[in-house]
Amino acid sequence: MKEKIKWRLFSILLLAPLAAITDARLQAADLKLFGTNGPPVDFHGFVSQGFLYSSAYNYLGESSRGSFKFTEAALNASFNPMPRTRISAQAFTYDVGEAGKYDVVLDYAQAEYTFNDYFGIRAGRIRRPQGIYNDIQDVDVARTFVLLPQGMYDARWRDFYVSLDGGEFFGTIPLKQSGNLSYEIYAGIVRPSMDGGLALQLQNSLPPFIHLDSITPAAMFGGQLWWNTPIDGLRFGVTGGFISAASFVSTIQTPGGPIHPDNRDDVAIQQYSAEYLWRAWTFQSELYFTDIRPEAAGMSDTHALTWYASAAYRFNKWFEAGGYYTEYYGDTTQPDNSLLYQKDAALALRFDATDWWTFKIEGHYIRGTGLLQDNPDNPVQNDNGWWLLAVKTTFSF
Amino acid sequence: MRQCPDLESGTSPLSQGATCRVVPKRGLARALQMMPLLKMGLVCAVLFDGALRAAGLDGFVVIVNKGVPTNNISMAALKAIYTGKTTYWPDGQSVGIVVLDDQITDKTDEAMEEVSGMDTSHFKTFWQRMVFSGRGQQPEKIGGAAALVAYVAATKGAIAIVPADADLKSVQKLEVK
Repeated sequence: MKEKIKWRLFSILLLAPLAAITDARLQAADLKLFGTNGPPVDFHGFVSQGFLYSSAYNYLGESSRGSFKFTEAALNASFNPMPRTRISAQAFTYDVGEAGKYDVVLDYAQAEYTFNDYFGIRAGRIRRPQGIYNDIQDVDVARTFVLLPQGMYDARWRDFYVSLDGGEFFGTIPLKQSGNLSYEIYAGIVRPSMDGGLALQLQNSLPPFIHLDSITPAAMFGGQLWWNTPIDGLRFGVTGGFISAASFVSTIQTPGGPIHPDNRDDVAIQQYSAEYLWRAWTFQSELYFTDIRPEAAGMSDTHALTWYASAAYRFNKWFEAGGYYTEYYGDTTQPDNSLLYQKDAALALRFDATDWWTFKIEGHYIRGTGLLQDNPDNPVQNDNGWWLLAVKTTFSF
Repeated sequence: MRQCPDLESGTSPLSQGATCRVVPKRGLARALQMMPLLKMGLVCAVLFDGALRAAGLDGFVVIVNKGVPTNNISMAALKAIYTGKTTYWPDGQSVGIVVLDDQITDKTDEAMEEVSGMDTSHFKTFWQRMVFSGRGQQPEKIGGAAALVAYVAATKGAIAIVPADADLKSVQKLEVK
C-alpha cells in the first residue's frame, strides 16, 4: 500500500514539470509533423489523479480504507488536412477502483467534413453526445466537481458509454430571433470492455456459480438536440438513444456440464437538460430515464431514473465553489428500497493554481447504496447516511 | 358574465374591468393562450440580458488574417464563431480563434463576453469541452497585443479581438455590422 502511495506521489511530482514543459513547448510553436508546408498538428492532453475516502462502504474503489485508484490520462491530436476537413484522435487510459485497469484505448479517431454551419458529417470512433457531460465526463478541468452525478455519468462505465464506432450528422440551424438549434444524430456499435464497469456490475450481480464470459458489441443509435436560446448562456437539450439487443454470454456450471445462456436486452434512454451560464454562475439540471427491456419471455422491464440540480460560482481566476443534489433510482417501482436508490448531496471547491494545474476537494453525504454494484466487498448495506471525500488534481495542456 | 378577451387580440384584460370571468381552457388551447406571455417574458429576458452586456466592443476591434475573404461581419456571425457554431470561413479555411493570455484588463474581458456570451472562465471551459470531445480546436493564447497581432498576421484563418490602438497594418480589420 505504502509503495503504491509513494509511486502515485512520485508520478504526480514527475508529471507536474513535464506538463509545464510540454505546455510551454507546444505554445511556442505549432508542431509541423507534415513539413513546413503541411497543416499544423494541435496536441492536447491531461493527467488526473484522485483520492477517495468513505466513512462506510467501498465506492468507486476500496474507498473505506482510502483509495488512490482513481486515475485518468489522455492525449489527443487534430489537424485540418484540407478545407472543411478535420481529423482528430485521442488515446485514453483510466483506473477507477476495479474498472479500467490502465488499458489504453482509442477514445476517438474520427474524420469530419463540415459542408456549412447547418450540416456536417463525422465518422470513425466518435464521442457519443448525451446531455451536458457524457462526451466529456473524463475531462476534469471542464467542470467544478470531482464526481459528476454518478447515476447519470458513471465514472466506471465510460468504456462503452462515451464512444461508439459509427458516424453522425451534426449542425446548427439558426432560428432568427429565437436563437438556434444544434443537433447531432448518430448510429454505430458500442463495445463494452471486460475490464470496464459494466462487466464488473454484471459479474457482481450474477450468482457465484455463473461466470460472465463476454459482452457482445451492440448497435446503438440516437440523437441530441440543443436549443440555444437568445438569452446568452441559456440552453435546453433533449437526448434520445436506443441500444438494440445488448447481450452478454455467461457460463453456468450444472451437473450435466456447462451451459452458456445468451441474455439479451433492449435499452432505451432519454435525457432532458437545462444549463444557464450567467456571469460567474453556472446553473445546471438534468433528468435521465433508462428503460431496460429483456427479450426473454417472463422477464419484466426495469425503469431507472436519475436527476440532479447544481450551482457553481467562480470567485476569481483561482477559486470556484459549487454544489449539487442528485437522486438515482435503479428501479422506479421500488423508490423506497435503499439497495436500489442513492441520494447524494455534494459540495466542492476548485482551485486553479495555474492555467494547467487544477486541484479540487469535494464532500458528499450519501443515503442509499444503489450504485455500489461493482464492488463485492460491501456485505452489509442499509439506508444509513454515509460520507465520501473526493480529492483530485489534474494537469492539462 | 362575459368571457375575458383573448390575449391574442392585443386587448389587455385589465382594461375590461373586473366583471369578466376567466374561462379555463385545456391542453393545447391553454398553451396557445400562454404563448404571448411566454414571448413577452423571453423578450424581457433578452432586453435585460442585453442591458447587462451594454459595454460592447468599445475600444476594441476585430482583426483577421489578410487571407480571410471578408471585410465585415455581423455580431451574430461573430458570436457563432466564438461559440464554436461556425468553424470554417466561406472559402473553407479553418477559423482559428486567438485570445490574449490572461485578459489584460476588465475591458478586454467585457469585449470577449460580448462576442461569446460567456465570461472568461466559461469561455475557457467551453473550449476545453470542445477540444477533449474532438469537436473543436482550442483558441490560441498569446501574451500581449503586439504579439497577438503578429500571430494573426502569420496564421491562416486567424481571428482575434484587440485594443483599437494596436498597430493593425499587418492584419485585416473586420467591420462589425
